[in-house]
Amino acid sequence: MFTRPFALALFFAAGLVLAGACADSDVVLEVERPPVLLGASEFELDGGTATFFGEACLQSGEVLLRAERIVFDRDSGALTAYQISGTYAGWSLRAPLLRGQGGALVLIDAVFEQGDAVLRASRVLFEDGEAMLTNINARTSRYRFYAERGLVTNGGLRVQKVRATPCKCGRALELDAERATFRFERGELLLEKSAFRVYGAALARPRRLLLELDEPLDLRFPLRLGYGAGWTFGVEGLPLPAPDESFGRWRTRLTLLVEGLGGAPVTGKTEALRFALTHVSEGRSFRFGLRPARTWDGASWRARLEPDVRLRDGPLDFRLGWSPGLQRTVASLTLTRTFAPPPLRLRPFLRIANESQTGVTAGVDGRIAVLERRAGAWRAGLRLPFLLALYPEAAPYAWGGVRGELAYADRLRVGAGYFEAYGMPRFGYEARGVRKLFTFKAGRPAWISLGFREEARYDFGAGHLSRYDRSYAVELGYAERGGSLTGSWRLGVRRLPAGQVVGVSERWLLAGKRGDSGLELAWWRGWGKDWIPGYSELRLAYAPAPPECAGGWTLAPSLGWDLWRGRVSRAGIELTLNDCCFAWKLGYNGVFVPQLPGEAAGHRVRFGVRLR
Amino acid sequence: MKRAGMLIFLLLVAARFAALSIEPYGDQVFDLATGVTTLPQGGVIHDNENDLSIDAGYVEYKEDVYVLARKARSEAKDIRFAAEKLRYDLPEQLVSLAEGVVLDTAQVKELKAQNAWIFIEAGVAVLQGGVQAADPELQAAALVSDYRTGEVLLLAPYRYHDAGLGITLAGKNPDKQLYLKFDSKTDEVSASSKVPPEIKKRLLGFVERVKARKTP
Repeated sequence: MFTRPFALALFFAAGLVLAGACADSDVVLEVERPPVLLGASEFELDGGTATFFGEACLQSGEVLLRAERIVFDRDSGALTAYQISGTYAGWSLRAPLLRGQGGALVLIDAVFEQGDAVLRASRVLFEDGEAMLTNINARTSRYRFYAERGLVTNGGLRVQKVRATPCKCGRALELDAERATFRFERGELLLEKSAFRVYGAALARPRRLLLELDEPLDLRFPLRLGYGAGWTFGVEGLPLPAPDESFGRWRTRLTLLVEGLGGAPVTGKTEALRFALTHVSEGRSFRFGLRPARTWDGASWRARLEPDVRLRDGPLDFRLGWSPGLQRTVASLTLTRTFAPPPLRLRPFLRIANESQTGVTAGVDGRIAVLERRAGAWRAGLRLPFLLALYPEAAPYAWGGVRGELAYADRLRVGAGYFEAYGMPRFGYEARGVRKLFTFKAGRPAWISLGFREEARYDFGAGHLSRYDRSYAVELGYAERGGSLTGSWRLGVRRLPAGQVVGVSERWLLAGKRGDSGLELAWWRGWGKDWIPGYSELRLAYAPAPPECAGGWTLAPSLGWDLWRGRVSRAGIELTLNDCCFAWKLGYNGVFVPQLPGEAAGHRVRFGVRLR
Repeated sequence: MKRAGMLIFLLLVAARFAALSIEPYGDQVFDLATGVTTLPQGGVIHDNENDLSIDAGYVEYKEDVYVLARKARSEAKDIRFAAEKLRYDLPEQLVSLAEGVVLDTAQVKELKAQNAWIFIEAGVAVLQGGVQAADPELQAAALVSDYRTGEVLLLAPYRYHDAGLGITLAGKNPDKQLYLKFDSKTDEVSASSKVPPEIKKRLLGFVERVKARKTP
């Protein structure tokens, strides 16, 4: 009589030992060439055509695919599957079509996905346990890649003849390589025998280049071109790639800039050549720069050599630079270290400097957090900031006070501070100017904010207080998702220690923003010594949202009107033009009637480009 | 004289079974108590009504009830079969086969199984236990064949191998049968996991019917 265990045993003894999910299907077809296993809940053989449908699947080595329908032609041995999805070597993949003939399986127009990475290949050949991709287009959050062919491996992709670009479309900026390895787990692409091309011209040919796939590229455009009392052109921050450096993570950069070349020699006009080499590595930065310059004093050129050297390494900070105020070289060496045992934070420092004075400073800068409380959305804090500086040649300088803050979520914030100083700071490094401050902001989506601040200014060369600057501000605003509208008033008053007013500036501003575009109308007013009227100017500026598509462009105009003289005081326009890869900017600003103290009539042309 | 008398007796006996005709190879022993006739040397039995012949090395039968045969080779309309043990139940016209069962139908040749049942009138054969065939090369837990219409049902687990094409079709789900339809004219086979409901009901009905039956 029929016995089931025996039948099963016989069945398996017959050699059908299948493994994997596909083998558990209701109906299974083993094909020897290509070596695949087909499975489905339903099967039909009509004439020479076998069709699998209903949770159809296909398994070949590591490849496990699901399909809507799999068709096997008995006579030709050809295999066709439709609407494929599945996994391979850690990737999920899908394709509208799969063909199998001879020993190979071929996916047409396949899409592989792993995390943020998406690979598209016009053809994927599964053969001998490997997946060979042809015409690969890959996209990560930051890059687009194209490769002629590649091999999918566990957690990665090895490609040949790869081209990568951060451009949204087109290939204006491109990295290509003979060979490259994607390591998606580490988010890296290692390019070998590569070339960096801009508009098809190879700028560099590094042998090995590492690209971080998900990090934003630090591609500051290094070329500079502008005009304003002479031409400015050259390179600024031009990367000098080293072997095995990540692309866009260059540690060494060069600046070589000609400034103010040509144009009529007016008093104060400066012509210079700026050279600087910077190197930044973990916790350390070094810059070596020189700037030979000459300035027209009305009768002759006065030449000088401005150094620009800085070394920072852990607690050490050495600077050798040029002080425009002192018109001479200044130097300093600072040693500092921060300790933060709560509630204290201490930063002792030792410094030797040659600035407006020369000497040594030993001191400590820090704060005590007296109160840090949170209760629900309420937050309260009270801190005691302080600084103490000791000089071998002079009396010590001390500064300290109290600063408190109270906040409720983002609806209310009140802050106040009061500080006193004793003695005179000898150098700007340790000088603390702030004396009194008060801030208040309340409301949402409509808000009001008030502010007041008083700061002391020192003349380090003369060794005394030079000024007290006070600023007052009021702002009313309303913001919602689409945009905002604000009206504000700001007043800045500069007084001598004795109380005499030496300068006042005031600004009334009405600003509207909608999305990324904005319109501003401002009224600038200024007074000189003892409230003598200085200027009164209306300024109107419109900044459109940046263009989004390739070929898109925007114009940002601005205009100033001198209310006293009744004429245009300034005008500007900036053209932004997008191509596939870059946003190009060409800007013009002209000052026809100088308004602000120190402002001179003149024209400036700026040229800039950035990666979109 | 004695031998001539025996022959006359035999002819009389044969004549008494209108449906079955008996051609013994040797002796024929009739047990008056049970009504069972034994052919110890075997013989050929013809069921004229159903065009069935059984050629066996040993036969016993009881008129209108059954035929029991050992080392039997048989032929009926559209089917040939052989087995070590054969029982033919006359009222049901059901042949039960056990041990060394081999069947040949128009569609499947050298079909072997542990047990088989043939419903002569319906033209349906049910095979169970290690079912396998050489042409086409297949294995199944059980097989039901309507050998006149060419409809075959393979019960899982089943396996079908085509060496020429290098393919093997298999099914493991006991609730899913593979339905094969042989076209006698074109010699082509169509197959599907979707069995037309009326065919499924009819053919699986025969499987149900043999479940309770004893093997010969």
